Amino acid sequence: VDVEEVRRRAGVELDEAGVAAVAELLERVIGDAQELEEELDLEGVEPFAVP
Amino acid sequence: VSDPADLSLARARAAIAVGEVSPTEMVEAVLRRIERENPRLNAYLHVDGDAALAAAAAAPPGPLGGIPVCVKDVIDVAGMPTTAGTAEWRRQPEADAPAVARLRAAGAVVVGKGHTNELAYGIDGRNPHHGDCGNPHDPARIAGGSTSGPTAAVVAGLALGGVGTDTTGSLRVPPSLCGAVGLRTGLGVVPRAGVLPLAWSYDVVGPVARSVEDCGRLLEVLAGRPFPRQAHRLDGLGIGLVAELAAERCEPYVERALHAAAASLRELGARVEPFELPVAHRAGAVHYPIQMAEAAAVHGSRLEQIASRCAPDVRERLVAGRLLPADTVLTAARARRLLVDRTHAAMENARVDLLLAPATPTVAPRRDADNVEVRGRAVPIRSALLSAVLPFSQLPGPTLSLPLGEHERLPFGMQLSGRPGTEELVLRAGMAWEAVR
Repeated sequence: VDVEEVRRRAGVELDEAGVAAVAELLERVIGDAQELEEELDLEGVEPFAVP
Repeated sequence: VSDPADLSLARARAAIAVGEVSPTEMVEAVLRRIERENPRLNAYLHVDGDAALAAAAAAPPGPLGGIPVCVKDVIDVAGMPTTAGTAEWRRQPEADAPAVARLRAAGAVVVGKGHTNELAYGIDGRNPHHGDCGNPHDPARIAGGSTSGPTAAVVAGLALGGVGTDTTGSLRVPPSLCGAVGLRTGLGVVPRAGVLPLAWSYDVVGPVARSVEDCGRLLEVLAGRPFPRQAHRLDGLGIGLVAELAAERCEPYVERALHAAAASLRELGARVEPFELPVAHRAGAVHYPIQMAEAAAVHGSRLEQIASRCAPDVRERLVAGRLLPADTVLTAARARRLLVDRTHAAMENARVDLLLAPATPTVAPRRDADNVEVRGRAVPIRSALLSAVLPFSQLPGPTLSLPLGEHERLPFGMQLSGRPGTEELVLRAGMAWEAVR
């Protein structure tokens, strides 16, 4: 996750610590989702939708 | 009746029906308790005593006639501000949310708006703008959130019933830490109009009360359909014991109490067997992208205004939600579908009607702590409190949180979860357990 891109696209004023925290959070959440995709067979699975 | 504020909702209704207590006396008793205890607990962000007394004097004789209730401050009540626990954002609704309108039509008296984590985006009952909500058993400890206020209020006699919301665990964690009963209703069971959303695909409205029966009486009105008042036997019911959550993520006293509860449920006639919850260890990876993206989208154009005054952790999650790639969110939503389908299939195969699991890994942590010790490890409080509720937040059916035991005179709870449309079953099992506990 590019810290500069976080700063540019945040749409909210963030200090340095805030930018770093958002970047770290994004990195973790995106990484977890990638692991999820590798671990589970999602071929043909549609997204959950509220009944 | 020594103090009407201490009555259960069911007992209060009976007392009102025979004229033992009037609705006005009922509300006066609760207002006195609020005056005494709210400075210590901070359960209410807004109280309108005059309006409550006027409503009590005119309360219709419905199933909740004269019952004082606390409404979480993300749900609109006409004539009271909705602030969602934020620093500046507020709206002044002219109409009740449909859920509140149903309560009032049944005779309930809204006393005020209950404490919540900022934007309901938290699990600990802390709030940097309005102060923390204290746990009624020890105000130096957290109440849990984000339905912190209504839960603390019903436990301490500042209301006889409460209404809250649950996105990730907000109707289950506070009841567990405070010794109350909360119900994460199935998706769509209670109308959500007039409620400030947090994440659309997870948000539900539900009751919190002092007992399962009281919870059922509130749900009856909120959902507009009858639910059981009593249950004694559970013959033929299949219950899956999700023991791995207790063994891996909870303190040993929680695990011991859960197995003791399983034994009691067997004595009531239920067939209780070990059950492995599919994809449970990945519930966080499923939940967070969806919740974060939806929360950012909910606030859309006002995100900048709201986020600029938010606590840092809330602001960071809102901003990150706006920046998440679409494929991350869709992967999570597809994994959620898999988790739901596999769970329901496993329940079908094992002939299991309900799932039994712990609600929180420990009793309420101290308000000044950042971490809580779980099996010798220091775990951040948010992660710890979400660990047992997150898997069940993914499911579309109801999950009941109810008292399981006590440790060092502090309560902790368990969850009973069912497939969509099983609110009646979940409440029946909860009532049977409550009767023998």
